Amino acid sequence: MSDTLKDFFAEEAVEIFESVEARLIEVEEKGTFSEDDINALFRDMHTLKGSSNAVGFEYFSKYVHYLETFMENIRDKKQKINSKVIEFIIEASDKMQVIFHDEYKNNLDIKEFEKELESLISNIDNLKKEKDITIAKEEEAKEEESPKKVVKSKAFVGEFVDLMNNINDALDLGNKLDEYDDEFLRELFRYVHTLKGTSLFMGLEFFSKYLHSIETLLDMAREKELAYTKEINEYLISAMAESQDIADDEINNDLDKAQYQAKIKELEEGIAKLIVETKLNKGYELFDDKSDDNNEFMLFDDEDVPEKNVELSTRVVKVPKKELNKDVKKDIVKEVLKEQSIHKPQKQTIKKMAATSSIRVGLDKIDFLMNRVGDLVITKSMLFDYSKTLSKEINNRGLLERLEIIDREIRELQEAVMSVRMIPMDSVYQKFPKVIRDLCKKLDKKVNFVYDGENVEIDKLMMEGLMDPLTHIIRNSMDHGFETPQERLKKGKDEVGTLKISTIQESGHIIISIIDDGAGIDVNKVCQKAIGSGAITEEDSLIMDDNEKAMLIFAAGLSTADEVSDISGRGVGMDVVQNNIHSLGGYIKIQTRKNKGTTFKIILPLTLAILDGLNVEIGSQIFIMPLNMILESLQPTKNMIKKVGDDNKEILMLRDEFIPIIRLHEFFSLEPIHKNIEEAMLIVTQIDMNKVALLVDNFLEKEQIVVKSLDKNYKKIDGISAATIKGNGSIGLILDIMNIVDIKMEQSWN
Amino acid sequence: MELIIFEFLDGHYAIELSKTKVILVYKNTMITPVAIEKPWILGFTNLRGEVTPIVDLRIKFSKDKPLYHEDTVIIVVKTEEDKLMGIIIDKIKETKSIDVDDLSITPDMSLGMDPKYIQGLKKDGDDMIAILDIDSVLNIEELVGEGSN
Repeated sequence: MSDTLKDFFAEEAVEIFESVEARLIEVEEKGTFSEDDINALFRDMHTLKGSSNAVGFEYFSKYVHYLETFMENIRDKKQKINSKVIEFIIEASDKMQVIFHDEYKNNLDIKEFEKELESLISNIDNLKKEKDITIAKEEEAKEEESPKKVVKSKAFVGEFVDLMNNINDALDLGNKLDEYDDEFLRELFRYVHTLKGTSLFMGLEFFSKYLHSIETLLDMAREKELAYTKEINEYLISAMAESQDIADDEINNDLDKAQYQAKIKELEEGIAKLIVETKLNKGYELFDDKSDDNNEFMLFDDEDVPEKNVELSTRVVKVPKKELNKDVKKDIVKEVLKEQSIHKPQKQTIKKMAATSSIRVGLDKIDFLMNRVGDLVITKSMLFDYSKTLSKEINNRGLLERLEIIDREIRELQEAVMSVRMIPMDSVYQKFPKVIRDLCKKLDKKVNFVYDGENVEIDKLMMEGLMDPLTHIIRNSMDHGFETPQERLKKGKDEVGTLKISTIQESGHIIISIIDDGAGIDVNKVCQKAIGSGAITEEDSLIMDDNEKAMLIFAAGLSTADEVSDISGRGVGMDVVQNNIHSLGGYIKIQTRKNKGTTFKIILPLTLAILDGLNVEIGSQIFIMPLNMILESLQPTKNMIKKVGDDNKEILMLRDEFIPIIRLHEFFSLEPIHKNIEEAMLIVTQIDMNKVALLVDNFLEKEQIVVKSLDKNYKKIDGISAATIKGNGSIGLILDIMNIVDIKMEQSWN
Repeated sequence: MELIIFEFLDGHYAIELSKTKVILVYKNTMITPVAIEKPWILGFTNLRGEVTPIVDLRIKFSKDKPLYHEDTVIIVVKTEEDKLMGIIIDKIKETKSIDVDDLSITPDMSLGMDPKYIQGLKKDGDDMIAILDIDSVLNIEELVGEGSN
């Protein structure tokens, strides 16, 4: 149980970390906290602490506790804000994540942790002592009581409903029990506590406050300051039903404060009554002084609560059983429910939101689904294949039409499954502000990060393969691309550089551009290095334009950095970038201009898994050409083929263009069927900005193919990107056009 | 240790049974050739949806032209790199359980192949059985390697 809870929390924690990070970076840019920032950060810390403690992250929660207190001090204006404070929080939250991951993996070094904690505490103390600080202005402080649109994070709705169900289940179970053991109470407390945290994160302020009272009650029961009885259990059932209403109302923003206060008062009175019935009179004060005159978030003083409770009597008095007004109350609840369902049938409830918004599904399940669809596609090809062996008569009797229907339906199914795996680019972008910020610090540069196209969706698998290359490119731009602020000013540029990432979807491709306005790539330097390392010759360099020279940074082992820094410069990064992108079936281009900046363009296919291919015959073998690579195809006439150079290189003259020809059978060392080029077929394709014509012997049929990796049981093969299973059950090989062109280019240079 | 013993390269060889996944009959197997890979890598077959490479080590280790006949089979093994690969052999003889202590260390003598490919030797009557170390025969360096084979 506790392990699944841990995992559950870990997911939540990571999301919170991300939001904390994003906010801190914003704060750093602004140089100060707004009231919203402070509250949000405090809330995040609080949720982290509460939930982590509940699921057993002992050390992590300890650490976060101090941060929470610190944020609380800021909120209560006991701690002044300056850049040091901001810096401190950013660093501490980095540490916090490290501690979390260590503890999650059970390899937290306790001694190390103690040290971290000590330094945290002493840092906090030092910051407290600093007196000569100007107080940061808080302009937005006057947002006041206006019912501000709470951003309700839908991401937590699923969890919310789960927890709600857990609590209700536990309470139902409680009704059947005669005795309540510690385990039962602890579990119930944990659920309620987590739910409180979650609801807070969703922006349900009233609800969480409401829950807090319940939590306090359970806490007392847990600590044995109060005997948990069936009456309490039943009361809680109705209270939970009530809380559900509050949550629903709050989601719809139609809960007014008065209404809510009435409800919470009712609850607190109910609880107080229960406590009175079970304990001595002291119970009252706990709630009364809190709810009435404080509109603020007083409910978070968890620290205080147990202390107060300790003072309370631990003696338990038997409950007089009549007085509870629970029955009456239940009826009211029911009536309210009925009323609501009559008057506002289309009203959004939290459960509905969960149902329509999202469920969490493991990626393995989706992959499984994808594979099954892949199998279906193969089976379909087999059926098509088989139908060809049947007589015309049978085929004409509607078989083909029916097969076409299957074909269409499988395609739709496949698209639907694919769409499940798509995630917005937003989740890719989220990681970068922090990378950039850290590098700015380290390198003493000023760079502003902007992005667009965050809603473009990308295959989850592709995204995973994309993270490393993108990070590499960004680090490279930060290290080599951007100048220091002084240099930039000297060049007459804005002191602050801009790094922009944009993503667009265009004609079956996803194009990601990483644009910096830095110094540009020193192409001559790159060129010299490349000649030095033997990647190209002097003569080659003469015919290359700047962008081609810039592409040389992808050659293995090449680095323009004179000194190796810990950020980049070992010359291993960029060739990995290119390899990674190639293995995703994409390619990368560079445009660079001196002192204007550099643009990296990554062009990726929309999906990895299934594509349309054209079977082509090359010598005795059949290969598959991805259909999206084909610009046009033609059978050349004699006068379209020109021979140039000493080695009689063949060039296709197509309209006004001269397009180099690659004979694929030469590439694969196969005997061609057609000796005469006019009998064979040419396929024109485009890579980067350059067109290339590929010579094949014949075109065969079009086929939808399921991409299967060759790496899994073998390795990469030159000129082949992947394999597939064809209609007759044999393996088909998919041509890697980009790779073929690359290899041919290299050969012609040498 | 359970072994699958077969005829191969004019001698008796064996592979650990635990590493063997499937045995395919050569003449019933559709193999898509790959021309530009090493000559001993015959091509790929579809093994229940898995793209499985088939190797003919006889081409790697012998100068004679390999023969393919009725008894030629493909032993599909799983390597320590978790790859499924098929090895063509001349004929399966039997499976046998042997005591690991009975194995003698590979002597550095002419076996027709580098001793590093042999996991151990086992005396079997007058015969000698060489246990192929499939993980070193089929590891990635061998597949990529620049060697003459």
